[in-house]
Amino acid sequence: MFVRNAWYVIAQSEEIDRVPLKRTVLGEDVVLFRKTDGTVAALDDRCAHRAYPLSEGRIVGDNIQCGYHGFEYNCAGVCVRVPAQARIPERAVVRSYPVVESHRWVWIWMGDAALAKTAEVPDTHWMTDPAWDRVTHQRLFECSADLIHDNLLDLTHEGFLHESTIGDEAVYENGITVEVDGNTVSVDRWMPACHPSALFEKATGLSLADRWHTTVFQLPSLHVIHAGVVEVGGRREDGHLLRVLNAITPATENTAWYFYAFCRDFSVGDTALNELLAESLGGVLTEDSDALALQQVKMESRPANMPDVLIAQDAGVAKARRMMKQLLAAEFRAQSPAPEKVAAP
Amino acid sequence: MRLLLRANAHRREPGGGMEIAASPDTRERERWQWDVHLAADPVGEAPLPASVESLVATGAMALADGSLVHVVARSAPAEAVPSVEIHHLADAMELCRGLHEVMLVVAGGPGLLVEGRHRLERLDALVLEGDDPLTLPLEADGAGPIPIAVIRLKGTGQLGWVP
Repeated sequence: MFVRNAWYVIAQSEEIDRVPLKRTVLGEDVVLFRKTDGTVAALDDRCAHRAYPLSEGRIVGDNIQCGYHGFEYNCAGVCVRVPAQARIPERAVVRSYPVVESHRWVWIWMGDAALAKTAEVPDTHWMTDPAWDRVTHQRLFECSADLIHDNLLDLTHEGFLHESTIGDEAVYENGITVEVDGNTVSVDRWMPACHPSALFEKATGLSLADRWHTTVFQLPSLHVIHAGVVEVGGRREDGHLLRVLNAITPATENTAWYFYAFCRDFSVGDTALNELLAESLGGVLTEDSDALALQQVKMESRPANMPDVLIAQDAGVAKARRMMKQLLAAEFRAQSPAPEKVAAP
Repeated sequence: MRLLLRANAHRREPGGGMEIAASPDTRERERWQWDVHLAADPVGEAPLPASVESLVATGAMALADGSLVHVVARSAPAEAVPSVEIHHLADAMELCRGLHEVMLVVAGGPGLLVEGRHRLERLDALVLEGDDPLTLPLEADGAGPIPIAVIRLKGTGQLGWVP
């Protein structure tokens, strides 16, 4: 079960060109390609004729041609050519999906296309803002999207899983403020007068700092972590600022795409720092990926009557889980047909 | 762990009331401990299973817009004792919280500034528990007195939002 009426990142811009790209999201196979005007098209990756994957075909102008019998579909998913006959069957249509390309990420709407028009793509402008620099990664995690959401809303794991890079005891020794506002959950942690972690001592030169991170989870997919370090006693806005973008897109029930961008407002253009961050943060993602894959296996074999034991630091996790259930329930209700009225005898 | 719950995040109940907070937050995961509701009718809160005993405290709060809500706090007797106080904040005050006490503050109007940084609007709520501060400064950040409901759940032992 996935929340479908929402924007999800499906690819990085540079992944999509004139060669069809297959990607599985929310349990559906989608084929992506660029049109001649540079914009992106997304269609169901299954020819209406004999279910051959369209991603095995080729792009012809703004159309995609099936590699099996040559059925050709336009960007709206309507078949416009059947090589073996002049008549085009009425049902020769594949589903097309709304897509938006924004700040180097391509977002897709897998639900009711009419609702996409009124929903804004989340703001990720730090990906292209010249005042910021960034390193990016992309992974397919072998776990459910839910486990990644839990991971990002409870950063106390940094003190153990990422001890050599971004984590230490300051994370779990300092309390949090959890805020719930509409469909957003934020978890704010202020860590005064502490070591800024091994990686950020290298990145900033500070060995003692006030430090913070605020995970803002815009359900159901995007976590923006507003983080930073500043000299002790300084104001947050004067510090070394970070925006860590984590776009989580379920691929299947137990795998998820992880689109990651670590954006900073200091040492912009410093290629040596970019290399250090790319390698170190890639390692952090690998640590997460390995741990969550192990967790997924254990979750699947755990008896149903043994739910997680939550602690106070899990407040954001608990709230987000409940809100995700509410979103799913609301979509289910909206899709369910209204009960038929029975006429009085 | 402070929990700041905006009014748009409260759980709507079939009877027209709202659940502000509850422990456990996800029902039936753990043994029920306490919950806090807003209701048009003081006895109209969400039902508990017949086998569950509860202590109940209520308070009627006239909101800044003139409407009236009943604040209903319930707890399992073995876990906590609930109480509800209604204040009208004209300027500033400081609330004190006991050890093993969960305290909720519900704003009855806009412009309630808590700890100098959390601005609560109408029916927003703040929950303090555990290692959170035992004193809580409040200021009225606007014109006119702000009605405030202060709900206390005095634990018989350690008590939190997450059981």
